[in-house]
Amino acid sequence: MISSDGEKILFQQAAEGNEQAFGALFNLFLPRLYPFIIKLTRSESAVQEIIQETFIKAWLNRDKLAEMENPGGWLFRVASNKCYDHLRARVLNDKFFKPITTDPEQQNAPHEWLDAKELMRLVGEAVHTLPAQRKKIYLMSREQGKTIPEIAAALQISPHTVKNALVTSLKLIREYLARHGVIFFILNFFLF
Amino acid sequence: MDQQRLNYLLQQYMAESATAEELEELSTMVRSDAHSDLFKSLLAEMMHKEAPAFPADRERWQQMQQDIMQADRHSVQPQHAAPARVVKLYRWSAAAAVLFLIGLGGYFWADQRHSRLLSAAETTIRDSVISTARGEQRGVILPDGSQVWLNSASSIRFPVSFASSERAVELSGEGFFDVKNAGRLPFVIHSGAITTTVLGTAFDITAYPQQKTMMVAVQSGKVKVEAGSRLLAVLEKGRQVKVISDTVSLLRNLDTLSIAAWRTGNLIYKDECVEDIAADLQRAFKDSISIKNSSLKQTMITLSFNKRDGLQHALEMISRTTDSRLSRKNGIFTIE
Repeated sequence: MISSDGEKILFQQAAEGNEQAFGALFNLFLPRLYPFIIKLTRSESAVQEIIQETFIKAWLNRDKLAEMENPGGWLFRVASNKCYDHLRARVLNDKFFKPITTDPEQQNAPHEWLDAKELMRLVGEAVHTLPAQRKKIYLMSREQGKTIPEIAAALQISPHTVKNALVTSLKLIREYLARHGVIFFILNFFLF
Repeated sequence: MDQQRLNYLLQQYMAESATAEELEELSTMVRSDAHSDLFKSLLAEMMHKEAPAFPADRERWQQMQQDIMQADRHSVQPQHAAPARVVKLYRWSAAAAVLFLIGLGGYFWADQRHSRLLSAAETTIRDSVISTARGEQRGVILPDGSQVWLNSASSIRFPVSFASSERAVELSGEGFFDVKNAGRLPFVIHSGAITTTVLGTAFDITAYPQQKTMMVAVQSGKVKVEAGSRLLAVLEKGRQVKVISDTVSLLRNLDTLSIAAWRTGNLIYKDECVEDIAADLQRAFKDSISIKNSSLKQTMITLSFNKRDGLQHALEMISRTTDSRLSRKNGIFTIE
C-alpha cells in the first residue's frame, strides 16, 4: 500500500507541528491498524499500548515521516514490530499461542517494555533538557501553537534558524529517549 | 522455516483453528527469535490486508490522540535519584493511607512510605502514586480504564489492579475524573476528609491539603459525596458541592463547560477568596505570590483568565478588582 498524495500532504503538515493534520492521520490509520492487532493480541489493553506507542513514535519522527516515500508503510511496520515484541514477551511468559482463553484481561501485555505513561513523561523530560534558546523556540511552537514565521518575527531571527532549531530539537529529544532506553532508530533503514 | 509455513501457521492462529502442535511450533519460533524479520513483515502484510474498522469507544481513542501530542508540549523536570513521580509502594491498611493523605503532598508522602516500608505489614499488592509538580498537568489511565486528569501539585494513588468489591483511589489536590462504568462496582475517591462514590461519570474534585475549600463538581452522571459517615450530597450533572471549613454549600445549574476548565488552560473562579485563587495561580505558574493583608485574603471575587495570558495579567485583574496594589520584587509578586 502506497501513501496517497492526500496522506502525504497531511504528513507534511504534521511535520510542521500541525496538530489537526496529525489528528487526521491518527483517525485515518487507527481503523486500519486496530482490527488486525485486536485479532492478534486478543487484548484491548495490548492494542491500546501498541497503537499509542506507534503514534508517539510517529509524532516524534514527524520531520522524518514527511521526507519518506511511503510514511504509511512505516506506520504499519512500526505497529507490526510492536506486535511482534508483544507476542514474544507473552511467549517468554508462557502465555501465547495457547488455545484461546475466555478472559481477555488475563492476557494483558506484560510490562516488559516501557509503559506508555512513562514514555510520555520521558518526552517531557527530554524537552526540559533542550538548550535554552531551542527550548524556547520549541515550546513557542508546541505550547503556544505558533508557526515558524510567527516565532521568527517574535524573536527577530530568520525563519530558517527557527526551522533548524525545531528539527534539531526533535533530534535531541529522540537522542535523549534513546539514552533512556527508548529506541527510536531501530527502523532507520525503513526511514529513507 | 519458509515463509509459506509461517504464513500458514499465523493464519491458523488468527482463524482460531490452529492445532496444539501448530501452536507449539509458532511458540518455539517466537521464543528462538530466529525469524523475527520474516515474522514482522508477515504481520505488516496481514495488517494491510485486514478490512478497516473503527474500534468502539471512539472518545477514548480521541483522548489518546490528544495525549500523544501533549507529551512534548511541556518540559518536565527530570528525575535524578529514585523515581519520585511514579512510585511503587507496598499497600498498608486503607485507613492508614487515608490519614496520610491529609495535609501532605505526594513527594513527602512517598518518601515517608519508603523509610517505613520494612516496618509495614508487607503484602505483595503494590500501589502506584502519580504526582504533578507546580505548573504541570498530566493524564493518568487507571487499571479499569478510567481516566484522571491531574491538575498541578496534585497526586493520586491507586492499586495495580482494583479489588473485586470496589475501585478505590486516593487523591490529594485536584483531579478531573472520567470513570468507566463497571456494572455495580463503585468507584471511590478518598480525598482528605471527603469520600466521593460514583458508578461511571465525569466530575472534578478539588481537595488541596492546605486549602480550606474542597469541591466536587459533576459534568455527567451521578455522584455521592460523604464526610466520614455523614452524607453531604448526591450530585447530578451540572451540580457542585463546596465545603469551606465546616460549611457545606450546594450549587445548581453549573455551566458544565466550566467544570475542570483548567484542563484547557482556563482558570475560572466563582466566588472564591483571593487567598485560594492566589494558591491556585501559584500552582499553575510556579511563581510565588504574597498577599499582605488578611481582609484582602478573605475577599470573595469572581474572575476568569486564560493561562496563556500569563500570571502578570491575572494578578493585575485581581488587584484591579480588589482595588489593591501589585508589585514584583526578587521574583515574588506582592498584592497589598
